[in-house]
Amino acid sequence: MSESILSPEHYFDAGIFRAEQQHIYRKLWIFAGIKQLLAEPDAFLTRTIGGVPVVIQNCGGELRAFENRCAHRQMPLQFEDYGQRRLACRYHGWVYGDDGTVRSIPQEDALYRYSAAERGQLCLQRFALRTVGNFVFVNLAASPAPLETQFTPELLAELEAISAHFSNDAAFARIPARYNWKLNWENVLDTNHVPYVHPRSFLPLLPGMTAAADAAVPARPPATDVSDLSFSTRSTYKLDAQAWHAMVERFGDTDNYYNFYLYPNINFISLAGYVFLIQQFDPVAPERTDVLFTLMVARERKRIPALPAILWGHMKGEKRVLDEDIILLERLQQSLHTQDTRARHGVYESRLVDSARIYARQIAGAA
Amino acid sequence: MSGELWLIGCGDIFETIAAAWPAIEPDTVLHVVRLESPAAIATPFEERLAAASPQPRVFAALDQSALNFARFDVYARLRLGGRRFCTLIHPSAIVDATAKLGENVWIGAGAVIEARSSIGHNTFVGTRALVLGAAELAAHGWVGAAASVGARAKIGTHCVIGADVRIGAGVEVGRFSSIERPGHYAEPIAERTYIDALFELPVRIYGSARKQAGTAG
Amino acid sequence: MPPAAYRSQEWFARERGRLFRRVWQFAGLKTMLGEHNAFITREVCGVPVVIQNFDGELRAFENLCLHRGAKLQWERAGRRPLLCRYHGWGYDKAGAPANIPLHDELYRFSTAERAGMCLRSFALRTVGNLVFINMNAEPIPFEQQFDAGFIASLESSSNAYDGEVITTTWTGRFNWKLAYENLRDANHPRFVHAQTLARSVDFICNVDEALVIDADAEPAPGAGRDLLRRFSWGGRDAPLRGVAPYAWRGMVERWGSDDAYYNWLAFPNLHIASGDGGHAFTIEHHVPLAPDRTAIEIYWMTAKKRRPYPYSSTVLLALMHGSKLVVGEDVRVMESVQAGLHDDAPQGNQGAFEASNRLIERWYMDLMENGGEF
Repeated sequence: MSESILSPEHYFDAGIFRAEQQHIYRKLWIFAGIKQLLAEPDAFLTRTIGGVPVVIQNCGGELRAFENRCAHRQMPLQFEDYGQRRLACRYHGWVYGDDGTVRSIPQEDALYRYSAAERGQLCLQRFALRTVGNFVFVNLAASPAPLETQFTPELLAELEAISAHFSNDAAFARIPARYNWKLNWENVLDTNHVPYVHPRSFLPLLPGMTAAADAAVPARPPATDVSDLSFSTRSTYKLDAQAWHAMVERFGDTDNYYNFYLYPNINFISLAGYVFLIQQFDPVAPERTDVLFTLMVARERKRIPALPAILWGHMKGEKRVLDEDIILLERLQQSLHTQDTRARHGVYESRLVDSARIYARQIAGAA
Repeated sequence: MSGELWLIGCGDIFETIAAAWPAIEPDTVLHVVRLESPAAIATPFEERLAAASPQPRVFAALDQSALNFARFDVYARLRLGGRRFCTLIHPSAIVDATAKLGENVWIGAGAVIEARSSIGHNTFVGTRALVLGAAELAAHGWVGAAASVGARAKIGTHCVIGADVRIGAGVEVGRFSSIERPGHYAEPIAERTYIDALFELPVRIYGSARKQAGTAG
Repeated sequence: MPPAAYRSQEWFARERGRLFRRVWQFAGLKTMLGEHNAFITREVCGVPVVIQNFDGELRAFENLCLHRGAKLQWERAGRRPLLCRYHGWGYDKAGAPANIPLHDELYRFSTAERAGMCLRSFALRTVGNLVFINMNAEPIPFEQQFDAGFIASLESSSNAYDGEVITTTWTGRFNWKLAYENLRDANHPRFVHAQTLARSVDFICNVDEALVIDADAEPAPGAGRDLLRRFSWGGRDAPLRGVAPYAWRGMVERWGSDDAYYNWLAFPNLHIASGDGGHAFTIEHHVPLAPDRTAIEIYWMTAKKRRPYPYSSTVLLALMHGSKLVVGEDVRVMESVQAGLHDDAPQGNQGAFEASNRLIERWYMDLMENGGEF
């Protein structure tokens, strides 16, 4: 037995939350969205990462990440989760160039009269951006560590290969939940909850899934590096054949349940290479998490007229499974306040223990 | 109108029509082809209509399963097979003479369709629903029981307006959207938007702009 | 009592530690826990608690799984083994995780580790049909809190309760102490309940001369322990102006034969009454949620039915509607007192009839300011 490294305070304390934002979310590479929705000129997406509003904009074919705040009054430049619009402020009409500098200010001479030096400094802060296949990651650090130190080359190659199969259309949902993001990260690492929490919805589809595989892992040395926290698994999936499956370029040719864990807050799964779901546990406040669902099917070989109905149908199904977790995790969160004992982990939970250890090191600022 | 009508499908509206017959068209003989479920449309059903007299009229009645695509499938296949469709109006519905109704349209009991409104092919309007003046409902749609579509509102193809949903006057709802959380909607709703009790916030589908997908009928 | 006693968060936390974590508190009805695996849950002093029937034995535990801290039972009341929904850990009546599914494959706790795992348990005491718990590791004797005559009266009357119970919870924006003070003030009904309760009950408001002397006297050292028993009393309170001859009253085993208003006040926060001479009973439990927020849990049951009658649930609903009216009148008054309090509010002026409240207040202030005597 190992008593949890994390105390209940790690799940609700405001100071710890700030430390996470600084040492994890503004230091690591964080998933921001998917590339195929940003293909058009001036296509954009917005996110809040580590408390900082970020816009990723297609600037003449190149994706760039900027702070999503006008240099004038700090108004967000883009509002929607995904959209297509030039990088300009709705408040006073400032327009930005591809490099984040202010290209034009309406009535600049009459109203603003910035000196040349002042004018030269008006610029959006830019952040590092990397794409891995259709995955877009950003890093808010001033000098980011290479992406390859956070994810192994093998894992990056897998992500690139599988994401090449993403459809051009994606359904996106933001699901507010009242618990700390780590509870959800730990929950997906803990496959032993599935028989108890999802006996009817999810378990029947996973004949091969067993936490015993995780328990067999103790041979694995304890994780020492952040890159040890992200990995992939696959197990057998009981596929329900659909007519549209014949109309898409499936990933792989086996009925696998593909499962990717990307530290700190992504669980990416694929149902037999036909359906792809990126789940992100986006920290909003110590006790509030937005679960972000990005759901796609494999890319179309020929046009599927009913694709919106297929995406919406899968989205509803995945949400029903998530709701079984949310109802539990929200209660777990509530009970943390009255608790002075810590979780007692069995050997199968070594992945949680690894995560907690490296997380604790990171928020101490030593990572 | 006299003659024969072949009703094919399954679900609540299907059963409503079958049960209300012959009040809907007293002089027409109704033949019923009941499918086991919307999924049953994957297997051919056309031969079950084979015994129909020359050029019989047909009506495809399936509920709003998969953004109305299940009903669309049956409708489109029968249409390609050269069948003639009709429009069915419950005797207690009030349909203004200036309203335009497409084929394979159902207007439920107590529904009111006001002047100059238009309802596209294969769209179903539920019990006691209101379609107010000059509202436009595109094809393959669904308006649930007691829902209302405000004056001059425009609803795109394949939309589901759920029970007790009220779309405000002049509001446009983009195609392939599903609004199923009861309430009043006064702002435009983009295409492929899903507002459902299952989700606290609207769900959106983004990506390649599609041209008239799924409206081949 | 200073306004802070009704308003301050710090005071509230101190009160929870010094008073509520040490006294016996009402927790529920035994009739709701009659069968094996029947349970009720509640939050006591901020701690989630489950009371569960194990083959006839009632046990009170902290309602949190020892593995990840998930709640074991979710519903307010129900019937289900004490089993975690997250990973299936099952607990026995000792609070030990008797069943950890796939233990050897997945957890591999050592024997010593496993032996050390046990749900935190709380002392539990039943009096007739009433269940009390104590959050302290070394609880005071029940008989130190309530005197033998009062306990016997509670036991006898609660044994008369029928098993069909209606319950609800209202939330009032007032400090819980306003409720116990209000209940020990027999002078308020004629003003607050003039159109309701006071029409059928002649509340007697007397000055208890002996109590006045005690309340104003300097306490003898060590007397605090014995004082506690004097805060709770019960039984026949006031005569009724008759009992309406509703048919259902003929179908229950009436407790006693007096046409009296029965009233039991159990310090700190429990009130039981029978307003119709022992035909029906109501329990009012004032649970502190915050300095200015109190949950009012109401239960209604008739005396035991001689045999079932078809409209018994309607009777309970009508009784509950009556509470809504009468308790609502109290809540409005208490909320207005609470709303008027501010840090510099004038202290109240108590009359001689309020000696029992003064007696409690003196003991309570000693407890809060000096740690008191328990």
